[in-house]
Formats: sequence, structure tokens, C-alpha cells
Amino acid sequence: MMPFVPWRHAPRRTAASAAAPVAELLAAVAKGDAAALAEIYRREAQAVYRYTFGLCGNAGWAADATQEAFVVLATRPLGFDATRGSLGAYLAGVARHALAATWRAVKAEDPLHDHWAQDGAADPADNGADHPHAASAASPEDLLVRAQSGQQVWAALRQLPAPFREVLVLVDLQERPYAEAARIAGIELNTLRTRLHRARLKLAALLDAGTGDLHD
Amino acid sequence: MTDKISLAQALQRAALDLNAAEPPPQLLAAVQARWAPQPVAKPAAAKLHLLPWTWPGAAVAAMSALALVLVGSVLLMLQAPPADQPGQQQQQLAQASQGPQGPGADGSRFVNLVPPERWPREASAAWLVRTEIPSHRLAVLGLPFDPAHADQPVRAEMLMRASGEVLAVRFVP
Repeated sequence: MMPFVPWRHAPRRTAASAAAPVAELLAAVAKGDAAALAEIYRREAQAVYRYTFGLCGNAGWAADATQEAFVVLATRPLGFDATRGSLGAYLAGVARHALAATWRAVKAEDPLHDHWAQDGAADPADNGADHPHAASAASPEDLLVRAQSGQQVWAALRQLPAPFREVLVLVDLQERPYAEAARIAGIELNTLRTRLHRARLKLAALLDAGTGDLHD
Repeated sequence: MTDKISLAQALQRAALDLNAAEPPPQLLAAVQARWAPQPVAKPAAAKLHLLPWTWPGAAVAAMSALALVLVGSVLLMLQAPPADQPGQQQQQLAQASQGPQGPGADGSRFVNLVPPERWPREASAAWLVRTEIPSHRLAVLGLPFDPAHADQPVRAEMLMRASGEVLAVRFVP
């Protein structure tokens, strides 16, 4: 028998609460609950944006792809299948498709190369002294070294083929589990391992050769 | 000129840079603007079967429903017409079949409006209906009336078939 629970004391749960499970939030989104969508966005948007930003290096493209992923989720919230992976992986996968569509639209053979250097294209390493963790540096010399090393790293990363850069962003920069990274990239787990190994070797070679140094 | 950095350092540096990247603050608003969600149903409009049921609530609802049924039954009993006494309708039918000569229970008499052979054999085939009819309608039934009071209604009891055919009529004060 159910315990006695007076109506006025019955616990009232809102779907958009921070502790609400994903399925409950998605059901609320399906009913048009904007607060539930905002809660999902609060949980997942950063990772999706950083993934697309790390992949293409263009803040506008990354924002558009992230927006597209959440619009798709909002309009078809039941399209997400929890048995096939996390919601973050699903959103990243949708954003990846949106980003690929943008690349195709501009007909660039290697859009990453073309748009890293475009005017207005944001480079993560360009954060420089405005970077949050840069603010904790002790001296201007530290800031300069950090900015220069950041530019060197991203210059090397942008020289990598997009599939190599993608696995590095997913696994080494975002620290996603291998299975989730493979799902987002749309490849088998073994392929991910192989690709990640080759990407690291190639990045190390670029750094060792100094070709990633913009100021050489 | 910059020093060469190791792979681990490079990845750590890139991760720190990437983790500082934030989506534009207006991005959520843009998503919601494109979404145009359906309005959420207000609690007042929530369907009954979606309400959270608890034992006290269910008990109150059941008692309310029972009380409504009892009150409704009492009201129906108070408003229902008194049932005919056993044999009363049979007596009225026999009385009507006797025509104007037959004595009524209250002294008035039934006037036959159809030949005797068209009278039903069973009393249950006819109904006694109390009504008021305009005086001038008496002429339609072949009955005399006072033209000076043609606009005044006359209280009457009519014996009728289920088909609506009037078998007999008598006037009551």
C-alpha cells in the first residue's frame, strides 16, 4: 500500500531541475517546456561548442553547428536513443554533421586549412593574455611564453588532416571516453585507436620539426 | 623564437585553450527562437488522469461521487409524479369507454373521440395525460365551446395511444 501523502505536502518536481534525468528533461522538451531545454543546454552546450571549435577553429561555424544540434534535439527530442550513447555524444554527432554541411557549402577542399587563417576566425590560442588561466600567470614573460606555445600547438594541430585533428580534440583535449569519441566520429573503436596513435605521432613530428611555430 | 615543446605539453596547452572557449551567450536564445515550442499546459488545465493521485484524495473523490448520487436520487424521487394506484388506469379506460354517460372519479365524464372498436383491449396500451388546451381547440375534437372564452385554456385529461391518437377526453375543474 502506498504511504499516506497529503496533497499539499506531496513533493512537486519540475522537469527542468538540475537533478532531473535526461529522459525526463527530453519528455518535457517534447511537451514544449523551454526550461527543460535550457537545462539540457546548460549541461551540454559547452562540450559541443568546444568540440566543433577545436575541429574547425571558426567561432561562427562552431556556434552555428552547436545551435543546429540543439534545434534538432528540441524539435525531435525523442530522436535521441539513450541505448546508443550519451546525450553529449548525440549532440556532438549532430553538430559534426552540421559542420560538415557548412564545409561542403563553401566547397573547400580542406576547410580547416582555409578557415584557420581567415579574418575573424577565432583561434583558441589567440586568447593570449585574455585567457582565463593566463590571468593567473606571474609575469608578462610567462604570458608571452604561454601565448607563443599555444600558437605553436594550434599551428601544428591545424596542419593535421581533419580526421586526425578530430580524434585528438575528442580524446586528448576533451578527454572523452574512446567509445564516445568513436561514436561521435562515426568510426570503429579500433579505427579510433589507430587514428589517435597516428595523429599523436604526426603532431609530435610537427612540433619536433618546429613547423607548427608560426614565428619561425 | 619559441622553444620546442613535447607532445604532452602541447596537448595540455591545447586542452587548456579549448576549455576556455565558451559558446556565445546569445546562442540559447537563438535556439529557442528557432524552436518555437508549444506552450506548456497550465496546471489548471491538466487532465484529471494526469493529476498525482494520493489515498486521501481518492477517498475524498469517492465520497463526493457517492454523495452526489444520493442527493440526485432523492431529488428524482421528490420530483417524480405519484404512481398510479393498481387498477386505476384500467378503471379510467373502462370509464372512458362508457362515453359521456360513464361517471368520472371526480364527477366529470370522458367523452369518446373514436368508435369503441378502435379502443385498445389492454389498459397498458393507453396513457392518461393531463394537459391544458385552448378552448378553440375543442372544435377540432368535435366538442362544443364558448366563443366568449375561446382564448382561455381548459384543463383536461386525455386518454391517448402511444401513437398520439386521442381516444377520449374529459375536463377537470
